[in-house]
Amino acid sequence: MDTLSLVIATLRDPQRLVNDHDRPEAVAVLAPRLLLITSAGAATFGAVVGSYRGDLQVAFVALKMPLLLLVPVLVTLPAVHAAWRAAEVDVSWQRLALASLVGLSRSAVLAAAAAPVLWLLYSLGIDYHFATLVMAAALVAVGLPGFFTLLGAAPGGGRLKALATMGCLVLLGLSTAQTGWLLRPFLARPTAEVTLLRPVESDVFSALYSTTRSATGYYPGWEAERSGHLHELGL
Amino acid sequence: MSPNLLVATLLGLYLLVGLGVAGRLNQLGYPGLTAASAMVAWPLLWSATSTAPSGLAPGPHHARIQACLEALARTVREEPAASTVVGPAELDSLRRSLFRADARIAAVDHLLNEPGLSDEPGVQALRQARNRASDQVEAVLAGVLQLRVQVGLLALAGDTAGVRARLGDLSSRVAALEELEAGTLLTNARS
Repeated sequence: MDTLSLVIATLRDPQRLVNDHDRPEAVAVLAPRLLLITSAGAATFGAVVGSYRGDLQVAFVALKMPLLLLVPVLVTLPAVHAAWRAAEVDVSWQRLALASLVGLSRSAVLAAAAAPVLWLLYSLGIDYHFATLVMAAALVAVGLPGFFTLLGAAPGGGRLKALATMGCLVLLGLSTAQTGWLLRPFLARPTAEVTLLRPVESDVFSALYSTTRSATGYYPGWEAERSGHLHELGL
Repeated sequence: MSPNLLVATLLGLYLLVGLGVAGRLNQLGYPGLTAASAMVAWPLLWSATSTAPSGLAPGPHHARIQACLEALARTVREEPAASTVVGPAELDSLRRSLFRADARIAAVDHLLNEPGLSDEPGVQALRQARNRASDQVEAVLAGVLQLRVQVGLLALAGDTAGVRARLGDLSSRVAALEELEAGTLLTNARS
């Protein structure tokens, strides 16, 4: 199967791809190409996200976006496997790994397909907060088909499977959010310095609390514009 | 320890394990690209570290063989008494034999799909031999299902001899299938 056929298979019938290659050596042989598809798709999406700010940010985000997809899966996969085993859903590690790779590729290809729409929106000069929301919504929209591919790898039956599945979704969601926090900035505020990574500080939850306060217009000591510019208030 | 140092340490450890997994895959004979991928995503390639690449192409029965033998392994796991009769070695041998037979069918399918071959003499005989081999694989898979039923009975009736007899029957059918199929398909393919 050539790479183009593999891309088509991840979109048309990912479950069949998983069923047909569910053996360790097939996973090992497919893995490099599936990782390549994931990296290329996510990097395309990342480049468009970086274009909101432009300059070096395009390359930085293109570099980081594949990690945003890959790292949460690598970190949470043992927990996902354990949760399903606890719920009496018997799925092998190799099948789970293959389904994750196929799911990641599927999400990345969909992200690349969604990139022109995002580019069009960003070229219209939308404000920073709206641009962030659109990026997050796009990531959720392309991430869900990938998650459903992972879900489809598990056989039917098993007590508490629904609970385990919900747990996996929450786990992957939280892990993706924290990974995104560690890899920021993606869009970069108009006034912020362009940088590959910011120093590690706090976590995504405290940031969400601050963003919620900012979204309601509460900037103690600062005046915010819709574009994302901040002006310090004079006494 | 500062957060930045902690992240750097964890990243270093991750890459170190990745290096080990990549080395193991390289040792087993996997392509260089697979070993390189393991540096980045070793948890996804962990299952391959215990299996060398067989070089066998998956055949038309591959998914069914996989599903039937996984179901059999699950049934044996769930019945502790069965594990003394049907061990992992027997299951592995059965799996390998079936995959080998399936790979030969795949090779013949590949040959039969070549353009312009349908006019060649002996193709009809090859096609018939291929169909016979395919039926025999199906029959062995049906035998696997019967073995599962026998293992289920073991829990209630304690019929160890029945399971042993069924497994023996299955093993001899697989061995016969390997010999017969290899001989018939090869002869037809050569002619």
